Amino acid sequence: MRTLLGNGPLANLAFLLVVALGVAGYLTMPRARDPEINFNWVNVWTVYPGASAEDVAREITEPLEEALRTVSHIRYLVSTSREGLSSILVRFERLDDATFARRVEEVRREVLNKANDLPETAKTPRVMEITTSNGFPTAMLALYGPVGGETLRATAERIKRDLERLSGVDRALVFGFREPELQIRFDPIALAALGVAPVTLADQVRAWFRDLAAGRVRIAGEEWLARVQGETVSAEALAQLPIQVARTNDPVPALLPLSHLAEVQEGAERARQLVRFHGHPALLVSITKKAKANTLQLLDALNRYIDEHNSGLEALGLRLALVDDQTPETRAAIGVMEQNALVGLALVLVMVGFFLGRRLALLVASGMVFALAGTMAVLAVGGSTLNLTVLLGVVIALGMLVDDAVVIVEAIHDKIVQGLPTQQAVFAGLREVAAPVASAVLTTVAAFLPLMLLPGILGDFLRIVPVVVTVALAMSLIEAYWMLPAHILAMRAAFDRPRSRWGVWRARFQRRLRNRYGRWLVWALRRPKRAAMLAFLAFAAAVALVASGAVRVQFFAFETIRLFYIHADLPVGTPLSETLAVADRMRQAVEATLPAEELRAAVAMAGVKFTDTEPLYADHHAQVIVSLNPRQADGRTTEAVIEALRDAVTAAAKPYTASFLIVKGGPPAQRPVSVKVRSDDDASRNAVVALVKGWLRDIPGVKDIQDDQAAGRPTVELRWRAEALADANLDVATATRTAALLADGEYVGETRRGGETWRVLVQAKPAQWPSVSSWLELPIVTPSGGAVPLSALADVTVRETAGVVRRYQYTRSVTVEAELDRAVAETQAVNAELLQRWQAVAAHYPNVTLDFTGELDDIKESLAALQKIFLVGVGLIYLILATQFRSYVQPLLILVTVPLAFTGVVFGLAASGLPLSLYTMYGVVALTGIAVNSAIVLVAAVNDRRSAGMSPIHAVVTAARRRIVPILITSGTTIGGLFSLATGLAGHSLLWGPVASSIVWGLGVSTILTLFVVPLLLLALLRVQAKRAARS
Amino acid sequence: MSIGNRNWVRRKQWGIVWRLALLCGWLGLAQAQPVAEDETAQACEPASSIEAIWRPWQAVVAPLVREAPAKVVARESATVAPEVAGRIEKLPVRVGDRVAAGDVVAELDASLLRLAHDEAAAAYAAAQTRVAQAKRLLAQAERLLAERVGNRDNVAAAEEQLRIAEREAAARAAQRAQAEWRLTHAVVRAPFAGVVTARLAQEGNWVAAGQGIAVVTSAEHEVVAQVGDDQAAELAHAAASPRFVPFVTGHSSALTSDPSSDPAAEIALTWVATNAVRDAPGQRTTVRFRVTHPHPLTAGTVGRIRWQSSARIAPPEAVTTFDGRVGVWVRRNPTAPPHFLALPDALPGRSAVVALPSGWLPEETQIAVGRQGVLAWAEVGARAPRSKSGAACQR
Repeated sequence: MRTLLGNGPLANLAFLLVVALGVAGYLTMPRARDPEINFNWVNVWTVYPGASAEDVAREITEPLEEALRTVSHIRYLVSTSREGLSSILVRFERLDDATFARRVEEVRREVLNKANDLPETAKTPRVMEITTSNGFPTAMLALYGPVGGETLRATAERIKRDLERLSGVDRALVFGFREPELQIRFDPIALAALGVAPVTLADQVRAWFRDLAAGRVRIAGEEWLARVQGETVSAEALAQLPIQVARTNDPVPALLPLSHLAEVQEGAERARQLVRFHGHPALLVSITKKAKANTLQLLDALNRYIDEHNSGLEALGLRLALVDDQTPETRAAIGVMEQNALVGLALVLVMVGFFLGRRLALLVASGMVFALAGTMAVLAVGGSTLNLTVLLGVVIALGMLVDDAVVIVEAIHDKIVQGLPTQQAVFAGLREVAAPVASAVLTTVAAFLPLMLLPGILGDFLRIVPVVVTVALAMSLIEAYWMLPAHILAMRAAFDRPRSRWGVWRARFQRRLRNRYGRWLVWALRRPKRAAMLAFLAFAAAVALVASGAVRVQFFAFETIRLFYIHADLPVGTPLSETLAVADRMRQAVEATLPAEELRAAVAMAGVKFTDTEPLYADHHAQVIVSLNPRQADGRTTEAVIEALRDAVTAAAKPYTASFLIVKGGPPAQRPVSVKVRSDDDASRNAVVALVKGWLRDIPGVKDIQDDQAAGRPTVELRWRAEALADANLDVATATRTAALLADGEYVGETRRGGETWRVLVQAKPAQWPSVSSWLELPIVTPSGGAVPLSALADVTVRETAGVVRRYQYTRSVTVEAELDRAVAETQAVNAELLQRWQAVAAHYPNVTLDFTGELDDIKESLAALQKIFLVGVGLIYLILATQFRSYVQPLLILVTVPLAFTGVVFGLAASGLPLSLYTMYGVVALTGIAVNSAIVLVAAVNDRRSAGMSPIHAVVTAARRRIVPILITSGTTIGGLFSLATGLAGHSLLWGPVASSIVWGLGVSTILTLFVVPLLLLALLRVQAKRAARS
Repeated sequence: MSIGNRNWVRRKQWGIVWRLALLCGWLGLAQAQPVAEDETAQACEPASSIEAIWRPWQAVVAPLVREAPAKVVARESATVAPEVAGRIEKLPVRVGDRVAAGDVVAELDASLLRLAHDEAAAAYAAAQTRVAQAKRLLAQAERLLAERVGNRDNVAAAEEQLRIAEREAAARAAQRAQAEWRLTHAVVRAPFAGVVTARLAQEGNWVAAGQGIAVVTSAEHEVVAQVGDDQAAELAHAAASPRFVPFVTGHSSALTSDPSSDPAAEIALTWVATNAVRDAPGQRTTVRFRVTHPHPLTAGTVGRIRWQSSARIAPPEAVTTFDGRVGVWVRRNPTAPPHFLALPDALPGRSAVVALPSGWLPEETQIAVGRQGVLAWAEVGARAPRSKSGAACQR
C-alpha cells in the first residue's frame, strides 16, 4: 500500500491514461435515445396478393404455424391474417443472444422449408427480429410534389436505395410504394365485340414477351451469338405489338396492333397505402437504424442527403422533407447533461474549497473528473451506446462520486490541522476512514443491486442505471484510495506550509460550526422524547401526503414524444381514395389550428394504422401523423396540443370518429381488462364473445369495451357449372383464367428497367360496377366466336367473409378489451369477477377457452417483483452494516435514515408538484444509499470513541461534532452536483429535473434529520447497553 | 536545502497547474461536441433557380405515323376449267408460263365429241331429207286436189307433215350446233393474259365440266390492306394527299446493325376502294390500292402500309403528370407563362395525341421536354424558400 501510494509517477500516468480513454470513449460512443433492448420477438411476414383473409389464414398462416410448432423456447404465437397479408408474431422466452440467434435461424429454416408448400402466387415469407432499433423509426422523410405518378414512384425507389446505403440505416420502409407494371388494360365488352378472347390476348403477349438466348452460330470462322429479342421496357413499343386476332383465309394476315385492343401504359400495382403531404401526393419513408448506430450522425447524414438532392428533385417536380426527427431530444438531453455536469463540478469545487481549501478542492474535483472519465471508458469498452438511460445513471452518480474522496480528504486534512506531517496524516487519515468509506460505497451498490436482478424486458431496461452507478462508484473508490492520497503525498510540501489567511478563517469557521452544532445537539439530547416526536411527525406527514394523493404516483411518467397519431376508422370495404380524403380533411384541420412554430409537419395517410404494438394494414384506416417541434420553455405539452386539436379534428372527421394515440417512451402498456376467447368453432366463439361483453357491461366502472373482430368483406364466389361450360365449348382453365383477367388480371411477363423488375399485367380496365349482377354480365368469348356472360356459366354466391382472422397459440381467437375508471373499479377485482362468471358457464362451451394472460404479462411480473427486490436490497444493506459494526442493533439504527430520506423526497415532490415515477424511484434508491453513508460515518466515530473508553454521551457528542463537517461536505457536494439539474440553472431537463430534485430535497431533509435523530437513538441505545453491562 | 525546497515547491505547483489544464481541456473537448441548434426544422433552404427545358413545338410534335398489314394480290385470278367433260389429251402449259388471252391451255380428247357431232349432222341430214319428202307429198296432195281427185284432208295432213318435218329439222340443226360447240370447246383457252400459277390436272386425267385444270393469275397487281375500323376513313383521306406514304415490304437488301436505318423498299400506291362492310373478328375493313407506277411486284408479298395521320403526337418525354392529370406543358411564345394542357386520353409512358389550343401559332409555341417539375412547383406557388420539414419559411 505504502509503495503504491508513494509511486507518484505511476499514479499520474494511470490518471492520464484513464482520463484519455474516458474522453475518447465519450466522443466515440454512438448516441441514441433508448438503450438497445432485444424484445426476443420475431415476425414472419407473407404477402399473398388478392386473397381474402380466410384464404390467407387457411393456406398460409395455418401451415406456417404448424411448421413453427417444433421450434423450442417459444412462449406464444400471435398471428393476424388479413386480405393479402399474413403476419405471425413469435414471442420467445427471455434468452441470451446466442440462443436467440439460433432460434431465429431455426424459425427461418422452418419457414423457408414450408414456403414450397404455399400457393404459387404467394410471395416468399420474410422473417424479421424486432428490437428497440427497428421497433420505432428513427426518422421519417416525405417525398412529395404536385407531379405524383411514375416520377414519384421511381424517385422514391432510388432514394430508398440511397438511404439504405447510409451507414447506420437498417431499413428504409416506404409507405405508399407500389411495384411498377406495364399495364395492358382491355375493355372486356369491346374485346368480345371484336371476337377476341382475353385469354388469347394474354397468351400472345406472353409468347412475344420473351428474350431468348438462342445460342451460338458459326459464321465465317467466328462464333456469333444469336438472340431473339422480344422483351421491351417501353410501353410505346409494347403498344405496337401485333396480335393475331383470328386464323382466317383472308389474303391479309389478321393482325391488329395491341394498342387497338387495349390501353397500354406504364403503371404500378394497386396501392396498399396512400399518403398526402402539404396537399400533394406523397410517399413516406420510415428509417430504422441498425443496432449500436449513432443516431445523431445518422440524422446529420440524412439532413445532408436532403440538402444535396432537393435541387435535383425540384426539376422532377418533387421535394424531400424530414417529417419527424427524434434526435433533438437526445441532443438536448446530452447538451443539458454536459452543461449541468460542468456547473455541478464548479459547485463541488466551491463547496469543498469552502471547507477544505482550494488545493484540496482541486484535488477532489480532479477526482470527479477521473471517476467520470473512467465510467465513460468502461461503458465505451463494454459497447454501450450513450443513451438517455445511461445518462440518467451518470446524473445519479454525479453527486456521489466525490463523497468517498471528501471523507478521506477531510480526515487527512483534519490530521494535518492537528499538526501531523503530511505523510503521516495521509496514512492515519486513511486508516481512520478506509473501512467506513468502503462500507458506505458498498451499501450504495447494494441498494442498487436488486434492480440489476429484475427479470424480463423491464429488467433489461432498468439494469442499465445500476450498472452505470456501480461502475462510477468503483472508479471513485479507486480514485479515493489511490489517486488522491498519492497526489496529496506528492504535494506534501504544499500542506506543510503555514496556512494562509483563508485557511485560518476556515479553521475558525469550522470550529464555530462545530460548537454551535454541539450545543444544539446537546439541547436535543436533553429532550429526547420531543425530538423523536418531531421526527416521527415529519415522517407521518410524508406518508399522509402520499396516501392522500397530494403527491401522485404515476409509474411510467415518461415525457411524451413530440409525435402523435390521429386515427379514424371507416367502414370495412371503403376504397382507399375515400379513406385518404377523410385523412386529408383531418390534416387540414390540424394545419389550420396549430401555429407554424409548434407544428413541424402533418402527414395524411390511408391504409395503415400505427398502434402501440404493431401496425395494422387495411384500406379503411385513415391516419394523420402529427410531428411537433421540440417543446420550448413556455410551450405546450403534447397532451395540451391534442386537447386544443380535439374539436377541430372531430368536426373534420364527421361522420366517423377520430381518436388520438400518444407515443410514450418506455415499455408498451396493456389495457387493464384483456381477455382472449379462443376456439376454432365460430358459433361458440361468437356466443362467448357476446357473453363476455355483456358481463363487462354489467360491472360498474368498466368503459370503452371493444373487441378486435373486424367487420366482414363483401365477397362474390363463383362455382362453374360443368354442363354450361361444355355447352359453350369452354374448358375450366380458360374460364377461370378469364374470370381472373376480368378481376385483378394476370401477369404475363417481366423485364428489368432502371434496376427494378417491371411486370407485364393484362387486366380488364378497372371500372365501377353498379351491382354484382352487372359485373356478372361480362362476356367470355367462346372458341366458336360467340360470347357468353359469366352469370350463365357459374353459380354465384354473395356473402361476407371475415375481414381479419386472428389466432393465438394455434387457435382462432378474439380479444375483448376494456378500460377501467380507477376510482370505481380495480384490475384484479374485475378480472377475478370475469373468471368467476366464466367458470359458471364453461361447461356449456367445451371447445372454447378463455385466456387471461396478457402479452405484456412479464412487465407486470417485473413490477410485482420490484417490491420484493427492494426488501432484498434492504436486507443486503443490513448484512453489510452488521459485518462492519459487528452488531445487530446498530445497523437497524442506521436504516432509520431510510424513512427519513423518503420523508425528504416526498416533501420535495409535494413542493414541486411532480409525480412519484420510475425515475424518482431511482432517486429514492440512490438516496437510500447516500443517506445511510452519513449515519455510517457517524456511528463508526461513536464506536471508536466508545472502544477508547468514553462515556456514551461524551462519545456521541464528540463524534457528532467531529463528523459534522464531512457529513455536511458530502451532502453539500451531492446537492451541489445535482443542484443545477434540479433547478434548471444550466438548461431545463424535463426528464431528469424530477430525479435530481428528489435527490436534492431528500438528501437535504434527511441530513438535517440524521444529524439529530441518529445521535439521539444511538445515545439511547448506548445507555441501555451500558445499564445492561453495569447490571451484569 | 531551502533552495532545493523552493524548486521542488515550484515543481509541485506546476503539478497543480497541469492538472487544472487537463481538467479544462477535457471540459472544453466535451463542449466542442456539436450540439445541434433547435432550428434544424426551421432552417431554410434558398430559393431555387432551375428552369425547364423548352423546345419549339414544330421540332418536337410530329405527325402520327400509322401502319397496317398489307399484301400484294393479283387483280384477277381465275381457275380455268373446261366446259365439257373429257379426257385431257394435251396440257401444254406449266406453272410459271406466260399466256396471252385466247392461248390454248389444254386440249381434251374430242373423238367422242366428233362422233356425237357426226351423229347430229347425220340426223340433221335425215331431217332435211324428211322435209324434202314432206314437201313432195304436199305438192302431190295439192296436185291431186287441183285435179279433183284428192280431198282437202289429205292436203291438210300433208301440210302438217311438212311442218313437223321442218320443225324436226330445226331441232336437229340446233343439236348439230350444240355438238359443234362442244367440239370446239374441247380446246380450253386462257380467258386473259397472265401467268399460270397452278396446274390442277395432268394429261390423261378425265375431268368433268367445271373442274379446274389450271389457275391463271393476271399480271396486274393490287395491294390489299386491312385496317381497324376507325382508321379506314383516315386512310382514304391520307391517300388522297400527294404525300401518301406507301407500301413497305420490310425486306431489306442489306444486313445492317441499326434496324432503324433499314432501307426497306417503299412503293407508292393509289387508293382504289374501301370495302363498305367490316368483318369480325377484329372489325377490320379491307382497303384496296393500285400501284401507282409500274413496279415488278410479286403477288403474295406481305408488308405494311404506312400513312401519316392528321393527328400530331408529342413524344413520351414531353408527357408528364400534374395534379392527377396527364398532359404537356406549353407556352404560347417564349415570353408567355407556361400552361398545362391536359390530355384526357393520354396514357402514362406513351406518346400522346396533342392539338394546339385555338389561336396559337405552331411557329411561336413552345413545349417543355425536360425538368417539367419546376413548372409544376411554380404552378402551385411553391417555389418560395422552404424549411427542411417542407413548411413555409419564417423569414
